[in-house]
Amino acid sequence: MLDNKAHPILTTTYELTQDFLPEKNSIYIFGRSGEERSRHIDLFSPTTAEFEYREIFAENLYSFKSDDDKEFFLRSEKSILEFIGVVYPRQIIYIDITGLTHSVWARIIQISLNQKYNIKVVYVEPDQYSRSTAPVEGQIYDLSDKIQGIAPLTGFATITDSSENDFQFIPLLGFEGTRLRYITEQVQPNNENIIPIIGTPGFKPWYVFESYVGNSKFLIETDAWQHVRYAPANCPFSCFYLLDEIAKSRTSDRIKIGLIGTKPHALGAVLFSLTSNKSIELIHDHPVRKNSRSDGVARLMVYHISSLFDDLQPVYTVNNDVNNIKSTRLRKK
Amino acid sequence: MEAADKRGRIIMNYTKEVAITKINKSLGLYKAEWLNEAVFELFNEPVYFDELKTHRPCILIGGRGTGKTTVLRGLSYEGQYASSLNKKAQVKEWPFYGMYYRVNTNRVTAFRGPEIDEASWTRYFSHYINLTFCKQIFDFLKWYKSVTSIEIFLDDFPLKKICLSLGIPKVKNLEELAEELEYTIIEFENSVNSIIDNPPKSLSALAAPIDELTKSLCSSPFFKGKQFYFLIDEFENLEDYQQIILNTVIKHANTYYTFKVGVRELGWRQRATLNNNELLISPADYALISISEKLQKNNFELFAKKIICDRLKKEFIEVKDDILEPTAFLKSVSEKEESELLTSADEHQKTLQNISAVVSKKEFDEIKKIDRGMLGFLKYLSPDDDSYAIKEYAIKYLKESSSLRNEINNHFHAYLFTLKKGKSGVRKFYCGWDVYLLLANGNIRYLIELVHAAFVNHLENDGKIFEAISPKIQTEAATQIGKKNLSELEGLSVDGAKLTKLVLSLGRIFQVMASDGKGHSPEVNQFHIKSASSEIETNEAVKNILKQAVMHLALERSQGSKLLHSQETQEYDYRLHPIFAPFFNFSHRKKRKFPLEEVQILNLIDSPATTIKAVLKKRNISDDEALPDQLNLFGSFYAGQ
Repeated sequence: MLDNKAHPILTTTYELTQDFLPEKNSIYIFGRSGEERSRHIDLFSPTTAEFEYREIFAENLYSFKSDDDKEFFLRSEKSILEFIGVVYPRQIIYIDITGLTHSVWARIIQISLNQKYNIKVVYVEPDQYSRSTAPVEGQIYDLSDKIQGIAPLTGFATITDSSENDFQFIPLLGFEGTRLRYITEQVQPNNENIIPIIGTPGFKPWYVFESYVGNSKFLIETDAWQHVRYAPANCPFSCFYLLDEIAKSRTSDRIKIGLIGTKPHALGAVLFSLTSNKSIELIHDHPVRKNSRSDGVARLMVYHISSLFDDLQPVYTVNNDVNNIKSTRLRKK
Repeated sequence: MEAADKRGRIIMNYTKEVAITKINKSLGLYKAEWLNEAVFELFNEPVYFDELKTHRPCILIGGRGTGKTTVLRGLSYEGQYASSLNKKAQVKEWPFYGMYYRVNTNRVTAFRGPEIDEASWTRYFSHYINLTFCKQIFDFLKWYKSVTSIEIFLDDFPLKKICLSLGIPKVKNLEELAEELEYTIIEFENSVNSIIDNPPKSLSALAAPIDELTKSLCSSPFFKGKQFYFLIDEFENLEDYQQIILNTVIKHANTYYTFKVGVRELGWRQRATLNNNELLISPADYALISISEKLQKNNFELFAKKIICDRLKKEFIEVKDDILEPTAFLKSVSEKEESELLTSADEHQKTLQNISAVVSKKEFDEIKKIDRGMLGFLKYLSPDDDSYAIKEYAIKYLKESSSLRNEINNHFHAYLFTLKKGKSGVRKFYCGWDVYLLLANGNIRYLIELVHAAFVNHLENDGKIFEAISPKIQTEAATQIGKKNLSELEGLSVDGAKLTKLVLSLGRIFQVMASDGKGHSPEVNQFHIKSASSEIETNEAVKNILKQAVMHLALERSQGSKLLHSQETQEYDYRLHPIFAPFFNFSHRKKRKFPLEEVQILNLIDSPATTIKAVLKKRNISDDEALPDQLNLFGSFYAGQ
């Protein structure tokens, strides 16, 4: 595991979700899935809540709707900015990724960072995940109804590099080994170029073992078990720093990251893709989450991601240099 | 290190670890994608390879693991260079230069979405194809220069025409053009990501830049008389409208370039072109090469033997060729021997005891001479195990064994599946090179997996390398590979979970039918759709799942008896891919079929326990039989919990 003592972990943790209250005059963007944890927003009392809600409905890979049934398109920055609305200087925007799909939250974060908005990302851990009653190998947990297939996160498509050789594949592992196998089948990495990242400590102490069990076939077949790296499952920053360290230690300019594990890890990967000088391709299979995939509500985390990109004391710089051929993810002016 | 085997041949003695490492190196990497550069060294030309080296477009159709990628990469300039043993001087003499391109799902799915109409996506994707293929040519030119040290240049006039066709400002030379092309691709990527606000400004006409570039190069002294091949792999990954775009380019390609396309069976979903009146037609527009047809039994056997031997030879260079013959180390057993192995002594004694009560001592002494496997078969033929019937068969057999030829031909193999019904351990043997060939069913990857697993299991059980591998170990290896491919199904497709469940359900049905074969049709291992559902939704769902199953080698389909007004699903007979036969224990030989209703296909996925029971009940078979050991892992699936 990466030694993170030298790196800031810009996170506020609340043991009880009801202890968290968004700051006054902030904007709170969120969506509700079938999971109990995504409905923690209901705990905010309408009388004490002095912030603006922006609830997201009817998400798909390309668009979503607001509460007045207006459709907003992920391939349009203007459309997303219209959804967010007028943002005053220093106004905080919370993006609660707990109940949102990767396509939607990743794009909103990308566009918000482009605008240098003050972004805080909220994530609520589940108390537990549902176990599968009819396990097929690699399917211990019953988390996804189906997958929609491989497609780039909208706004993160990479078409610049057609070379299929010489890339590093970094799958962020979850429990669902079959999803990893599906992604691997599409990515077809060389065995020696695979570095899996496992979330540990996990939300529960034993989850690390279940990650190994769920993905064992892949890990053994490719010998990737020898190269596994670890980052806390609920920490996007640790994942971010680890990806950065791996990227710097490798000669390959191309990295493909498989988004299978936790949302905080996916957030780390998204932030990394926005800042890296290397060619980063995010691979996601867009699972349709089961409503009953998790039970209960555990800790709530607030990730101060804008602090990573603070203009005054930047830890990292959002790479939007138009002349840099390799950095293309953020909008160019 | 040297030692002689029983036949006096000199073989090497290896430690277990060294032998396993060598086997893993030679046979463990069975995917072309894993082999990297070694794929070229290990490349064996299949019988159809020369057919691909023509000026015409070719469509190479074959299932997963049939060698499409290896062949296409073999045709690429990297592959040709390796097969010419890196002879630099020869490169400029080659008649063609192939550029390998795998359709990457994560790239091509960037060009879809409801917010843009299909006509616009068509223009954008056409531009993408132009940029991509032109870039491939520039990558090749860079490589060509590095190998031959020849500086390629074009005159101003053709250079300008290429620039104009791509919407690129005028450049001085090809290197500058390559650089500008990269910038154009980056700009295009940015546009695609924010296509509503920032649609691409300058789009090239489909194939125009490819035409210009290849024509200019082939008109120059450097490539006069040459042809460029675009080697497109995994064509099935393209969206339907994207296949139509590629079809159009394939149909109208100029003489300076052509296409060699690798696609899975049923993966080429569209034959249309952008011109509504034109379809891509074989043989007028392309040559269709079906790998399964080209690699019929003998061809496949020769091809497979050469691949196995060459790979082993690479690691065991000092071992003589005859020792590397698969028939030498994959010991087979005859049906008769197998029946002896599977019949327990107790069972045999019990049968004899029953017969002794109804025959004379003289007859009994004669009957006792019948092999226990054969006696068991005679019992199998006898209704209700009736002792008098067994006696009749036994006397008939002793009098003239050929009088039972028909029964033996039709039922003996089916009988083998009943011998260990409900018992643990090996219930049926799958061993020998010929059986392995049938299990692989023309799929070279499956065959390498089988042989690899047999070797590894043999060595791990303290066997010596290239000693005959026992039938039991071969069977266990085949079971293991069946299970491996079953578990991989889930990761192959968006519908992978459904395919896995379908295979589990059908496998159980065929397994129970096989072990309960007595009194039923022997070796039922195919099905056909008897009646189509009246609901269009069900009809479409079944059509889709069966197509997916065939495409990903869960099922194999063959032309069935065509019925008047039949639905598409009714036109074919289906069977589980024989690679699953050892895992479930049913016959790997393509034999008899039974009917299923269309809706039952969906029910086998959604409610397996009740549907399996219903299907078997209709054939008067109970599903009470205990699961074979290897299926216990799926106990809760079969219990319907």
